[in-house]
Amino acid sequence: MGDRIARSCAAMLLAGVFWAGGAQAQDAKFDAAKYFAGKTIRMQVGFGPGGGTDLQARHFAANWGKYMPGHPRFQVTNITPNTASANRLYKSPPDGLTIELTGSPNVTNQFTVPQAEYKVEENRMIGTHVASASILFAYKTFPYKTLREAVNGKEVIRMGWRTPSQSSAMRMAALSEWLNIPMKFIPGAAGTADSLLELERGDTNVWMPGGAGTAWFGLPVMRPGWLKDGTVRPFAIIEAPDVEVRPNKEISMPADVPYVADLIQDPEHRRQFIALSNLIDRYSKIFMAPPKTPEPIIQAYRTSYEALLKDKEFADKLEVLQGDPVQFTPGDVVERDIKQMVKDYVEFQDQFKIWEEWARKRF
Amino acid sequence: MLDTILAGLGHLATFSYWGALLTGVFVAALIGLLPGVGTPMIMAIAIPFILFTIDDPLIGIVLLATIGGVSSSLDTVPTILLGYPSAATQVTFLEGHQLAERGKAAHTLGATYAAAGLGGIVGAIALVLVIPIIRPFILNFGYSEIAAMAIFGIAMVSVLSSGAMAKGITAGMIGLLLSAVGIHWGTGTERFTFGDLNLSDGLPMIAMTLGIFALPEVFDLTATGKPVSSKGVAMVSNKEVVEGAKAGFKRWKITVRHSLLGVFLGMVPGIGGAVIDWLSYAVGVALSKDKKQFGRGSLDGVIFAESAQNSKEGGQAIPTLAFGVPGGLSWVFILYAMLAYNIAPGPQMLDRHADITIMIAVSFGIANLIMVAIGLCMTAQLAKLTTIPYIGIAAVILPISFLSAFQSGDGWFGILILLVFAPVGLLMKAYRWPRAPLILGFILGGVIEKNLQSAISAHGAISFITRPITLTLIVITVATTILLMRSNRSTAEALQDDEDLAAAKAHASLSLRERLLAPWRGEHWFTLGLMAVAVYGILGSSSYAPSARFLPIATCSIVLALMSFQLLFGRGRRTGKIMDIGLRSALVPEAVRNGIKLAVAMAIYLLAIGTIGLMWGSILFAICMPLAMMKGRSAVITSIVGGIIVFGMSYGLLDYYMGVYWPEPYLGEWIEKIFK
Repeated sequence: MGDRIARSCAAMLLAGVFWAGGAQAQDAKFDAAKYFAGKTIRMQVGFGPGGGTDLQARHFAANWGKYMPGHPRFQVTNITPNTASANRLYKSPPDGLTIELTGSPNVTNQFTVPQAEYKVEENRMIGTHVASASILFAYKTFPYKTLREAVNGKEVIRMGWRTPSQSSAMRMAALSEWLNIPMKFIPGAAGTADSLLELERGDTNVWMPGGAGTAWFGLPVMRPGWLKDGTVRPFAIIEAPDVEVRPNKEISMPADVPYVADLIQDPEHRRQFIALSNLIDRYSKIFMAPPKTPEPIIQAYRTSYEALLKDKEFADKLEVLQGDPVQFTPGDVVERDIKQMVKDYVEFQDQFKIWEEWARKRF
Repeated sequence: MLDTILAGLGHLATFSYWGALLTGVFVAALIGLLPGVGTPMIMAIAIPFILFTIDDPLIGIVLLATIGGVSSSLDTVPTILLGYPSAATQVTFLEGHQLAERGKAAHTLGATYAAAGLGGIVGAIALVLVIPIIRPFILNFGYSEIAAMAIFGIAMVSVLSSGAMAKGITAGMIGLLLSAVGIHWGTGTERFTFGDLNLSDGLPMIAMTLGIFALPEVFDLTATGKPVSSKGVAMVSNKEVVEGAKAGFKRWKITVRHSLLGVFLGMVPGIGGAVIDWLSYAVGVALSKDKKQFGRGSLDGVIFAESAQNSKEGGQAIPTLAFGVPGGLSWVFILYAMLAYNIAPGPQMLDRHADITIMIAVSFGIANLIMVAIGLCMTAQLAKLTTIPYIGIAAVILPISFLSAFQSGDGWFGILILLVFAPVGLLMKAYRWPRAPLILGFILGGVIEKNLQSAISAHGAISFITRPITLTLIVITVATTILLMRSNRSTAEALQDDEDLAAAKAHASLSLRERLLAPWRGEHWFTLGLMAVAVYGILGSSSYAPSARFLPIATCSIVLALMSFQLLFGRGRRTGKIMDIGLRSALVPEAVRNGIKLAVAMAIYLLAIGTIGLMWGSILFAICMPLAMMKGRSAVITSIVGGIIVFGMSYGLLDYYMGVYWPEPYLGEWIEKIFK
C-alpha cells in the first residue's frame, strides 16, 4: 500500500516536472533565447572518454552554443555502458537540458539487453550527421574476389566478432545459411585496429567493421594505400541497395562488388536482411532528446544543429574526427525511420533469434 | 627519412615545442601528485583542446604523448608518502611505503626518481631502436603467444605467494574468478552479473584496487593514530633526496634490466600498468640473491617496479605507432589524435612521419629528466607529510577514494564495489593473505581466457605446439615455474624471522589428530567464506555454455581443494611473513579506540553523502573530520587545505569539466517523501 502511494507521488511529481517544462516551452510566445540563456545543457555519451563518439560530442559541445538561441553552455557527460546512458536519457525530464549523442539508433539493445528500460521510438530526434557506407572487406590472400564468388564456395570465410548476439554477426550467419557460404567466427578483435591486425596475422580473412560501418571512408586515413594496392578489397556492400556508396579518398566502389541484398533470392529473406541492415547501418551518430520534449525546444535544436553543420570550419574538423563525410539528415526523417526500425524489429524478432543461434554455431 | 628526422629535431629550437613539452610535463606532474586524478580523465579533457587549437600535428601529438608518457613518474609520491597506492604503484607501496615508515621517505623517493627517469629514457631509446624491426615480431605474436605470455605472468603468483603458498594461489584463483564477471566473449553468456548492467562490462578495476589496496591502508594507518613516519623531520632534507637519487643511479644495471622487461611487457596487449610492476618485481625477486630484503621495505624492490613502470610507455608506443594498436589506455588518445591529424600509424612512421616518431622518443627522454628534476626539488618539502598525524591525510584521501570509485562506475555502483572490497582487503591484511596474486589473477585472467579461446578458434589447439614463439614461451613458463618452486622454499624461509620458523617447526611436529583438533580462529571463518564463494561459483556457472563455465569451475575447484586441506590440516599453523604489509594497527594499544572513532566518522560520511549528495558530503567530510579528530591550529589548517582539495576535485574537475551525473542521495529521496 505504502509503496503504491509512494509510486503515485513519484508519478505525480514527474508529471508536474513534465508539465512545468512542457508548458513553458509550448507557450505560444516561447522565447528560446530567454529559455536557454545561462543554462548548461548536458550532452550524454554512452561511451568512455576518448572514443570516437566522445570526441565528436566534445567537438559539438565546444561549438554548438554559438548557434543555439541564448548561447547555453554544453557539457559532455560520459555514462557507460551504452544502455545505461539510453535509460537515463529516456527518463530525463523533457526540458531540453539533456540530449544524447548515440553511437547507433539503439533499437536492437532495446529488445536484446534485459536491463534496457527505454523505448527509443518515443525519443525526440534532433538529427544525424554521418553518411552510411557499410562494406565487407576481404584480405588480399582470400581467393574469391567478391561475395558473389563465395556463394556455394568451399573456402571458409573467417571473421572476428565478440558475441553471437551482435547484430552484425547474426546478419552474417543468416547470409551463410541462405547463400551456402562456409563461415567461421573468431571471438577476438576488440576494435578496428585489432581487426586489421587479425587480417594481417591471418587469424581472419574477411572483415566487417562493427556497427554502422565507417571504414570505407576511414580506411584511407587508417591504412593509406591499402585499398589502392589491393591489401584489402571491398568484397560486398552490406547497405540496402538504395544506398549509393560514394568514392572515398583512394578508390571508387568497383562495379562488380555486389549489394548483399541482391544476392539473396528469397524475397522474404531479402526483406528481413534489409530490415536488419537498416537497423544496424542506416544511422550511427544521432542526437536525441528525451520523449515528450516540446516542439519549440526540438525546433531550436534542429535549426541550430543544421546551422552548425553548415559552418565550414566546424564541419571540416568534424569530418576529420569521424573519418566520414558529414551528411545531414533532419530529425523528423530520423524519427520516422527509427519508428519503422522498431516495427521491423518487432516483426522479425523471432527470426533474429534463429539467426543468433546460427551465429552461435559458427563460433 | 634523414631529412624528416632532422626537420623534427629542428623543433627543439622552437618556442612552441618547449611550450607544449613543459605544459605536458606540468599536467603530468599534477596527475601524478594528486591521488584519484586519472591520466585518461585528463587526456579526455585535453584532447579536444589540443586538436582544435594546435595546428602543427607534431606539437599536438608531443603534448598529448608527454601527458600520457610521464604521468606515472610522480605517482610514487602519494604512494610512498601517504600509503595510498594507485593501480600501478602497488609494489612501490609494498616496499617504498615501509621505507617511508622507517623515516626514509626522501631517500626512497630520490631513488625512485632516478629509476623512473632512467626507465623512461631506456623506453624512449627502445622505441626508436625497436620500431624498425618490430613488424615481423608483432605479426607473429598472436592470440596464442599473448595467452602464453599471460600464463607466464600467472606463474609469477608463486613468487608473490612466498611465505603463504596456499593462500597466495587461492587469492590468485579468486582473482581469476573475479575476472570472469561480465559478458563472456564468444558465447555472450552473462556470468555472475546478477542482472546488473554495470557488471556486464566486468568489475571496475579502479574501484576494486582502491578497495583491496588503498582503503585498507588508510583505515589501518588512521587507526594507529600516528604519522606515517615516527622518525621525525630530521630525515627529510634535500641532501637525503640527492643521496637517494645517487643510490638509485648506482643500481643502473638492475634499472636497465627491468626497464627492458618493462618495454617488452608494454608491447604485449592487455598487460597493463597494474600488473607490469608486479611481474617486474617477481622476476627481480626470483633473480636476487638476497631475498630476505623483500616484503619488508626494499629499495631494490621499488626500483624493479618503477623502472619497468616508466619504460613501459616506450613499449606501449611501439604497437601504437607501428600498427595502430594502442599499447595502453593513454595510447588510445594519442592514436586518435594522430588519425585526427591525418597521420596514419604503420611503416610511414619511419618514413614520411619519422619526425613524429623521433620527437615522441626525444620528448619522452627530456620529459623524464625534467620530472626527475621536479621530484628532486620538491620532495624534501613533500616528505614532511609523513610527519603529520595520518588522520589529517585520511580526511582528504577517504573522500577522494569515494569520488574516484564513483567515477569508475555509474552512480552508486563504483562506491558499492569499493565498500564490498575494502573489508575484503582489510581482512586479507589482518589474516596475512598476500593481495598481489589476487590483482594479478584478476587482470591476467581475462587476457588468458579470451586469447586462449581466440587462438583455439582461429588456429586450433595444435597451434600451441606448432607456433614457435608460443612453444618457446610455454617452455620458458614451465622451466621458470619449476625453478621458482625450487627456490621458493628458500625465499619463504628468508622472509621468516626466528619466531616464525620456530612456530612452523612446532606445527610440523604436531600429530594428525592434533592438527585436526586445532582451535578455530577468525581467519578460518574468512577461509570458510571464500569456500562459500567458490561453491557459489561452481553452482552459479554450471548452467553456462561449456567454454563460459570452464574458468569459474576450474578456479573454484582449486580454491575448494586448497582451502579444505588448509582448514583440515593447517589450522594450527601460524602464517609468518608474506609479500604484503600486515595490519600495523594490531600492535598499537589505542587502535581500537581510533578504529571506533574512524568507524563513526565513516558512518557519518555515508549518512552525509546519502542525504546531501556525494559531492557536498565529501567536501563536508574533508572540512569537518580534522576539526573533530585533530587538535590545535593544525586541525584548522588541515580542514581548510583538505576542503579546498576535495572541492577542487569534486566541483572543479568532476562537476564542471567532466559534467558527471552525481548519484541521487538515497536518504534524501526518502526524507523528501516523508515530508511531502
